[in-house]
Amino acid sequence: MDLKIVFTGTPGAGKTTAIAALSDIPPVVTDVANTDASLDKALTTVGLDYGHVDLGDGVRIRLFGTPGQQRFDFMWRIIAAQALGLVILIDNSRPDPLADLRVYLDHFSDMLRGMNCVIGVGRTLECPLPTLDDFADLLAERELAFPTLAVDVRERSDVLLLVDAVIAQAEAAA
Amino acid sequence: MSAPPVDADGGPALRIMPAGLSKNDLLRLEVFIGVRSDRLRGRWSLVSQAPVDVYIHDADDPPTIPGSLTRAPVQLRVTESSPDAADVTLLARPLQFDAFVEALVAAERQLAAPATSAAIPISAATRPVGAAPAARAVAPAPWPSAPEPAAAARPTPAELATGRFRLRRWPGANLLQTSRYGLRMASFMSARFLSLRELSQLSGVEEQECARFVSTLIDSTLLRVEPLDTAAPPRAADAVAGAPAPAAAPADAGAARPGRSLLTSLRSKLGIGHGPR
Repeated sequence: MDLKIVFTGTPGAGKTTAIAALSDIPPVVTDVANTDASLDKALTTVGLDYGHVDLGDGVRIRLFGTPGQQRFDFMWRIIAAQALGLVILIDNSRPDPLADLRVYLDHFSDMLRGMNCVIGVGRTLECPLPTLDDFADLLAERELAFPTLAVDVRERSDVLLLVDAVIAQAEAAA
Repeated sequence: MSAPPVDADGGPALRIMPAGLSKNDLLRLEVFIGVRSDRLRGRWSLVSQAPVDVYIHDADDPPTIPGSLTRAPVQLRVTESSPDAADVTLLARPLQFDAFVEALVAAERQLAAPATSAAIPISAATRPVGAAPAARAVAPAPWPSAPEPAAAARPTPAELATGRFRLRRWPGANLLQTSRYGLRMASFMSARFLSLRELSQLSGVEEQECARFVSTLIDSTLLRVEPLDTAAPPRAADAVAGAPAPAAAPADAGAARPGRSLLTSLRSKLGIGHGPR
């Protein structure tokens, strides 16, 4: 049996890093040289990132990272369909992180009510605004109450918090 | 002191002006005013200018009330430290509903107009025999009687035991930290309505601790509540309490629904075990 957890979010938010923190295999990345001057990174994902966690007995949890740039948004819904959970990673150092979250909430709007979803906000130490309460308020305006956590995806323990929240929602619905 | 004006429902219309308070304080006051309490006779509202019945501030030297040369009859002060419990005019942050109601109950007593002596009640025993009963003139009650507003007190243990709870909004870190398993319990309650027993079974946390955590979230108006005997709807349909059920999602949308054993295996593999039990 195969299940998947999908990591989506803005470019540079740490999707590839988060998958690497969990995967049993080195993540398969589909990066090319970044030509977007607004992104402070050498590479950017143009296809999917992939990793997996084997549970034994033929059960595998596949980890997918969507390309962050909006020109690839046609892939986001395809990848997220029938996922065990959706992790939306937001980079709080970007100019308008709340607007970034709105993009994903709008794009997945019809899927979210049945989705196990968690919001991970990165770089909150360097950029404390907007606050997690601001993100929670934005979700509440849409009558959503997804777990909203400050994370550093370079820390495996933080990535596990995100997955823990996804699993908890799945356990409540099981 | 003249009696306050009376609104359409018969209760006295009373005005609170907040001054210099934080956004969180103001949000809490708005919620408290909206929830109300059956202990209050008046219908309270938040205002930004005089006339003012209660002035709530957090300064040593409170600012003046715009448009008024006089101090408000009642002054409440918000403080960071725990105040003397006997002094109901001091409210500690984070503002708590019960303490706020206590303060308003005391304010209502202080604001009540004194009984007038213009009319002397005539008792039946002294009325001249055969005379038409005199118009009974009695001192008016300070405020006209008003229908009791709906109760909005902290839930009792019985109410907690007969309800199901679901998050309306994700809690702040300070609330999650009130329980060692707050993050996980809140994650469960973000997915669907759960009773205390269901929450305890899912989380492995003793029901008493679940009740304390749920009460904390209720105090912060973060939970939706439904009666325990409400049939649990399909997950997509209970996303918004009171809202019409959404159309069935397309077959290729939504989340996969693995069994508990698989999820337990995943937890075990990743090293993120269950709760205390």
